[in-house]
Amino acid sequence: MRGNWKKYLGVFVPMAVVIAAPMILRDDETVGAGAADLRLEVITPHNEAIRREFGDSFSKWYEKQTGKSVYVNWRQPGGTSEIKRVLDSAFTTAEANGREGIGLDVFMGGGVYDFSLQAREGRFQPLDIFEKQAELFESGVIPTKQSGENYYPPDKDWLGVCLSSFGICYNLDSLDRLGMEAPTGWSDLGDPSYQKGIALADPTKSGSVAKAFEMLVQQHIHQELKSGKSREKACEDGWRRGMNLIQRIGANARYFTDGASKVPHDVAQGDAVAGMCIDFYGRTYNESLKKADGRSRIEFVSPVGGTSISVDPVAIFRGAPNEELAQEFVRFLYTKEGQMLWNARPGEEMGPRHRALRRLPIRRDLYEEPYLSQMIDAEVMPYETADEFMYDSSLTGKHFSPLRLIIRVMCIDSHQEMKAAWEALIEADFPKEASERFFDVSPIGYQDALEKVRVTMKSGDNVSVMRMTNELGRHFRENYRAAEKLAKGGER
Amino acid sequence: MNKGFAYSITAIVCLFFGVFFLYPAAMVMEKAFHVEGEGWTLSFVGEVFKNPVYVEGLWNAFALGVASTGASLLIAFPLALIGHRYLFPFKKSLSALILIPLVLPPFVGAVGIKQILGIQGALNAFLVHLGITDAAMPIDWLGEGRFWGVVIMNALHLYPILYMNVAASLSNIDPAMEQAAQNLGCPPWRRLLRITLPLTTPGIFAGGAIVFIWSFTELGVPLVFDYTRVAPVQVYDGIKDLGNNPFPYALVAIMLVVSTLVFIASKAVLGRSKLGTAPRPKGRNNEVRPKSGKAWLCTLFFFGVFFISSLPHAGVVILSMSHDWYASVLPEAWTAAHYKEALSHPLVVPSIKNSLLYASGATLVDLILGVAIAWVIVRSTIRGRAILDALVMLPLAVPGLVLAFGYLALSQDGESFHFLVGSDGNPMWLLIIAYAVRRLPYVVRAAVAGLQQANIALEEAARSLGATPMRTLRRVSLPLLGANLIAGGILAFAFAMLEVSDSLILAQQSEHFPITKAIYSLISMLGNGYELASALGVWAMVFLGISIIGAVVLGGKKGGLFRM
Repeated sequence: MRGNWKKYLGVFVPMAVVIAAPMILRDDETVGAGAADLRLEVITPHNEAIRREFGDSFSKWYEKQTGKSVYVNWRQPGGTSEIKRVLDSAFTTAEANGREGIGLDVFMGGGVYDFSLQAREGRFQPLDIFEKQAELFESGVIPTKQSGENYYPPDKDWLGVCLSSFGICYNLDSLDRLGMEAPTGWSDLGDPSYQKGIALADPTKSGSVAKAFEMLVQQHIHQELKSGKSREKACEDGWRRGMNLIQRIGANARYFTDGASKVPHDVAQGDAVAGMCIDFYGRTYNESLKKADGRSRIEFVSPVGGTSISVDPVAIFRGAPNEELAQEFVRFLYTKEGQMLWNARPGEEMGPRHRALRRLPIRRDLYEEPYLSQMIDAEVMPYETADEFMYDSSLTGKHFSPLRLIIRVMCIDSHQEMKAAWEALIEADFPKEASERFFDVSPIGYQDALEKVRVTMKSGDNVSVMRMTNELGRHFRENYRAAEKLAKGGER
Repeated sequence: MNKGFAYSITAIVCLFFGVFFLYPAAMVMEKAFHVEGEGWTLSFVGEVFKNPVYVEGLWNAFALGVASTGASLLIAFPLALIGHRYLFPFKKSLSALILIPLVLPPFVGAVGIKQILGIQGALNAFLVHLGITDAAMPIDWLGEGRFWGVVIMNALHLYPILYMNVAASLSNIDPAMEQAAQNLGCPPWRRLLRITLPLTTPGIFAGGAIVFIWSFTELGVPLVFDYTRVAPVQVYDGIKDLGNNPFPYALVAIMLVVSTLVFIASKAVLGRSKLGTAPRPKGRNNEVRPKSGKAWLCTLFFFGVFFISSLPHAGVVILSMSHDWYASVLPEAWTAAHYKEALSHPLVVPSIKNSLLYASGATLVDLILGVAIAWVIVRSTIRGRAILDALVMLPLAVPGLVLAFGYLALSQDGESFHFLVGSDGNPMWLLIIAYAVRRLPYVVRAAVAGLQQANIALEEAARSLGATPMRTLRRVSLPLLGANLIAGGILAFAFAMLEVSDSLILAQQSEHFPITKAIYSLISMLGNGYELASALGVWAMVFLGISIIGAVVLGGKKGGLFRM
């Protein structure tokens, strides 16, 4: 049929062009999986830039040391909650089939919480570096803890690789539009002027985010302690003030998200005025949106005295198929070369090849010359500001899990009612009775959180947990509805 | 159809379904009904109904499903009807272009919408530019939109499913029926209601069932609007919760039951073909060319639908070429650098190869299985074929993550699906099967509708003239089904290429990533991640666009679906 070949050409030629384009453009420098002598299996939530840089750098370093090529095979099921499920599933099956390992060598990236959970199950093996390079630890180049946070646990089965903390990113244009000052601490985010303008990270889906909320609450307890109250009273009052602040921030929130990049992106695009995000995301957006005059419309700030500096760890799984290689990988991570990758400028001698990673190395000795001037974020000096906040696990450590459930019932599940009440309260200028109703957190006081909430959660009885969730949720939703009604009723 | 043959096919299909759908889904769903050490229980389900937040979520999801289906039909039916009846300027191109929602990639699609409708987005910038709104008080379209915003977005995304199925049904109607009515003096509206509409109910049902279940369980669009008081978002929230919560699974079970009930009820009312078994004469074309004004109105309508439904795509395309698109109608600076960086990234070429492989494999499996299943449902008389019909639809109603985690658990070393995973961890077969299971409903629905409208007398004539069943299938049935199979196959292929949950969870190593996971990885790049992901997204849109148009152009003669 004569006309047909034209039709076929008209379809297949464009298709061939489209398919060929990426093949022509592709960057072939990375050692492929098939070509390498050795292979390292690493499971990670780290973003693509980090994976690529560390994969390439370790390959080069290892080849220089040993002459053998290695391919770092990154397994990425998603974020930390997906990784937890993958590991749980794999270890359960392995145990049922009498195997020690799960075919993975290294776990890299996530929060201390995620690693503690795995460590508690005995899934890691000891890291050689503690013995073979004991001087790094004895001299304090890698500290045991900082601002109250462990940088490695007493049994040394995971170790922090780089530093991280949560902070506030904000959009200067949006603040100008609303006539507001830049926020400096968590309390500022509770200002009613931020109504519908805060992008919040979800503490129920990320241990690191939950930790940031715990810091926020603990900061209030510290303030109460400083004012001279007894420990018991300081905890009760500080906890209550912390809950109320979380309510204010939650009421201002547009959403609670588990997407790490969504918060700074939405703030940068003006869909949110300010938000809670990880340090390196905030700094990167600030840098990438800088104009010629040096002004960037998105700024990042670490809340003064309101955050500890935690770590992003690494560990080796028990039964790792490439144990020696895994130990070498960990060794590489703590070389000056491996550490400077996190914050040196791309293209510089110790820097990444393609992109700046904008994270802070854990080695203290790099915060001096000649290394400091090679760092992009040299001015942050985390070790100098770390002691402004000392995390005290005895104050709120046991409240960590209950806090997640509390935030769920108080803010997330009840968000609709909460926002409606907040709007009514703002319009009526916070009348007394309505406000008291809104801020009533009596069922979830400091002791109740331990005695009622935590105990129920630890019982493992999901039906009781659900019933408690329902009951608490009902309390808050009813209060929010009542507060809205009272505020609209014109009570002054 | 030979009963024995029907039973064999049913058995094979049930085996396939049992192993690759029911088993992994049940494994995950077990959490909703089983307490460790205590046995089976319905208490979790009971507690869901006692939780007003979950109950409201279920109602909202149901309402979204109904409203979205209605809204999609309001767009799709007139489009299909006008396309069936009239000739108008640019009809050929517009008929292909209105399928554009099918090619919207995940993740960046949402970003594209937000670039247009965000507080500092293009629409607000446009309104400020026209002086309609004040720059100091931008409209929060996505923040205020909520329920109806989700309905409109759903409708604009899903109407092609209804459109294709209704168009296929219309193309199978014998024009003589409408002409006879016309000759007997029946006015156009009455003809529409009494003749055309009843004859297209199989197509409406085929598309409507998919659209309802899809919007009932849709996660992405409510998230764009931060509309969280809806069951699918609550399920997603609960599954990702670090606390091992069984209640999202109980919610999923309830949603499955609702989906099944709605499907069965609507099939009883709409699913049966009324009179559509008359032979469709070959080549008889019922299209008329209306007066110039009316013809241009048709063009305008098609173009209007295309324009509005392509706004998210426009957002993605512009973002991919922009240098910081913010608070302006169009970006202040353009660049091609994102394309160079994205397309040259080591992830990309393998991901394209992988997606093509997985999606084509899945579509092939679906076409074979789908025709077989449709045959049993329509042509056989075995008992339980209605159950088979409902069973085949279930994958649409199970949230992606649930099934993905089921496959994940079962593909571990030592578990039953491990044989599907290659020695280097290659999940190709696992993904082909996972995609095939999920896309099967599109092909089955389309094939069923086609078979219901195809005249069985033609097949019987072939058989009585000595043709073997295979020959009958090849020379008579498949050509008759052509339009429907192309419709179903296109939908299956496009959605397989853009599949999210299985791709994210099961493809863990970058050499096995499909395109959706490559897009997801690029988004996480700091700095210009969204722009890079958009560039790859545009690539995917262009590729899919060419595939779909190509399938329509090349397959068009076989079924008269688009009369090209």
